[in-house]
Amino acid sequence: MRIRNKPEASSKITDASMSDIAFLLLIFFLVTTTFEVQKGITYRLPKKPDIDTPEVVVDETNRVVMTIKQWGLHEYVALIDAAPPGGPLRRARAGEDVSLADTSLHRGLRELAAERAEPLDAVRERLLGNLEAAKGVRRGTYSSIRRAIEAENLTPMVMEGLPSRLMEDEVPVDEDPLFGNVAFGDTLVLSDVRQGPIATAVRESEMVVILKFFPDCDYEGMIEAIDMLRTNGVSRTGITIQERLGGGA
Amino acid sequence: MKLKRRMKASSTIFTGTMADIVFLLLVFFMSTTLFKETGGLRVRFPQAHPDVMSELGKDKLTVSVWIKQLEPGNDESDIIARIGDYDLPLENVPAQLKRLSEKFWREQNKRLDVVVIKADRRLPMGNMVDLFNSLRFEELYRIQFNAEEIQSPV
Repeated sequence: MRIRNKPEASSKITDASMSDIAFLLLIFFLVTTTFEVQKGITYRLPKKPDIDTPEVVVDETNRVVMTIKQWGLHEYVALIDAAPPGGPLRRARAGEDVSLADTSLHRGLRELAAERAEPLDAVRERLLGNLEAAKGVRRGTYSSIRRAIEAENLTPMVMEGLPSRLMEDEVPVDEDPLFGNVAFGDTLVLSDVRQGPIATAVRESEMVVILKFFPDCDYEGMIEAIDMLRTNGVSRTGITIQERLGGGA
Repeated sequence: MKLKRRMKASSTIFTGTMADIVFLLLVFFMSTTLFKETGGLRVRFPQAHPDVMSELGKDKLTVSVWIKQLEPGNDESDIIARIGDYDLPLENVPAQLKRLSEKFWREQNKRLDVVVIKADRRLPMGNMVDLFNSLRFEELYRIQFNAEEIQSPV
């Protein structure tokens, strides 16, 4: 009798499609991967009241006080409580509210801020401090920006700020021997060939805007107000609450 | 005369290790991928111009605080905050952040650089100003207000 051979089952697993599957998964993860980025408005709170820290009093010529109220769901208005005398903005009478989107308010704030642009020495000093912090060396290691640039082989640069774009010829400009022309709102940058920008400092305004919010005003109003101020060159702001005065609802 | 045969250069590329490389990359992306866009509460961020917003460097040690009112728009409604996976009342946030800051310093010798506030746009300012004042008293001065970019910048 003739014995029939049993059909042999293959013991091999085909792995030809393995790399296809792996590539497919790889492309999927490449496309869907998101590295979390924290983006937002940075803000520095004032130091807590201390016996050793003297209280900072802002002169009325450098100060604007605004009360922010909410009119509608996404509508916020400002009432100017105090403004530098003789400037483009005036103290408003009760009820003279102006929308945060009002262009004359923006222009007024921009002009006041530009008039009070900080001197270049102050910006350079801050830049030096930022560089020392970035390098992890103690304060006062470099005697000047020039010395730091020579010692660390850095390149000085100027980055154009928003006020330069908005104000064009009206923006105050000063000349610096190392950086060239520096306008109000511009950023001084020190960069390294390998690492790129190492330290930066913005030429800010010395003007302070104090924002007083009604307690029931939405948080969105604060972001809108800070956004409007920063866009117009005001970086120093105070945030507080407007206490309701008198009786009644 | 005997002609010498030319050495033939192989025209094939060795692909035996291809799958290994691909798997290595695959494992990397699998372990680093974040599927959830928001690790905290479901909040609606306020909007701001991209020019006034900045990105925090990778070297910065940050802690995110999510804050939301249970019923947005209702002043009587409770406010909850979330740090990591823990919910806590808003008034306990500064003390908790201080504890975290001390823990980072003790265990990693690092300072907490920035507190990232991821708050819902309809939160009442009265509560937010109280929070800022409490943060000051805990010596946490550097904060970042998280915001979405406005679609049509100036």
